[in-house]
Amino acid sequence: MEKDRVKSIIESILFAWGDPIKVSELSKIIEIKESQLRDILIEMEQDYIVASRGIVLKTFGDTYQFKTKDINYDYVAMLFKTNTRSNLSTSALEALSIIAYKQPITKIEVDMIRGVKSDYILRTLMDKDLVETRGKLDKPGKPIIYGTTSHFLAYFGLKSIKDLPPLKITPDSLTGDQEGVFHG
Amino acid sequence: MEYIVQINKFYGPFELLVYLIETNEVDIYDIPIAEITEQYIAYLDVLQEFDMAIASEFVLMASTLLEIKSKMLLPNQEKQEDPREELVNQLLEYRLYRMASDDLKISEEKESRFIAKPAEDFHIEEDTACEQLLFEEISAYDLLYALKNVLKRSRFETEDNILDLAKDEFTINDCMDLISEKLEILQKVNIVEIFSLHNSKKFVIAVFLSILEMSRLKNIRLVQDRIFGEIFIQKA
Repeated sequence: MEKDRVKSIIESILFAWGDPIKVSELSKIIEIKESQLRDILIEMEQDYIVASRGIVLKTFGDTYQFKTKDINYDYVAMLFKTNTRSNLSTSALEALSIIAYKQPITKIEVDMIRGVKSDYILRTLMDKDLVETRGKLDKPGKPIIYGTTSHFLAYFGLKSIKDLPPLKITPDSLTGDQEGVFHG
Repeated sequence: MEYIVQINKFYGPFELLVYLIETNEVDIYDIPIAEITEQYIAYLDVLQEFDMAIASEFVLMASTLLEIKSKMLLPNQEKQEDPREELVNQLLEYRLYRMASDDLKISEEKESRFIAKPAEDFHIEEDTACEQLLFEEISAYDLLYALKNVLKRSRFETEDNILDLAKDEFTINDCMDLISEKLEILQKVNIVEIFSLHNSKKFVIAVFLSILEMSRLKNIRLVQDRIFGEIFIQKA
């Protein structure tokens, strides 16, 4: 199939589907190899950067999605009746960042770091599809472990979990298990 | 009274402590425990004055602070470890994620300026393609609706006015066995298919009850591809 034809099909699918769609899913639908598709998608990302386009092709995890360009936000926002956007609360962001950096993690560990119980917040985060359970820890009590979802990536505009900004650890602040993300 | 404006601001003791340390511009590694404890307890007093419930975590922290304070007052006989050390480490770790959450807040704000559109409703009549969009969790009303349709469809004799006390021809157990057998062979069975096996109202009712029973026992799962669509039985 011609490359332009593939691009055209992808555009139609992404427009109609709205939600993020997996590369593997696209590959199945269009019947072309994933590797080939990935190259085309990368090209398309560039295509949409052009100043005359109001849509961008976003990628999170292994998914792609159309979104409107951020620089046009104020214009699009004129259509909103009221401020329907609800940002996460400070506590929710706090718990979420602990989970994001330390996943997989148990609720107790989150509670310990926050110094306060996180049951309600955890449920809210799960309802918002930002956090999911990742099974149980093979320890006494079999505590449930939690991690972030692919929607988490989309919500914060991260391509992958590795895209999280490094923790701002100062050299003399922490000892122990943080060496992995050490940034002076 | 200067604390009043901050009443709803703190959700945990660490949050309050970090705030006090930052506003007092004191070194987190050398916290003036007496001062910070005083301010911390003053905050709790204000909460109490306004009759607001104080979370147990705040009270626990108050006692921890007082304990550290009293330990600090003891003459330093041996070069022991700093009684503040554990608390400082906890505060540092908390502050680390607190700062990370500030970064996330910025990302959230930035990303929210990109707007995605909701997916189209891909519900296409009588198309097998829509089977991928199966609804889980069918309500009793959906089942009732399906039953009504079956009863409407089949031409049962209107014998309703005659009270018939005949022995049950079809028991719920029989029907449950029948459904189980079907599911051994097929992955998914349309409930209408089962209803249509016998043209008898009693049979339909027995099947209906057995479906309810089996889903209560979680032996089967009921799936539906759209509202008022056909209902399928799957093995749970």
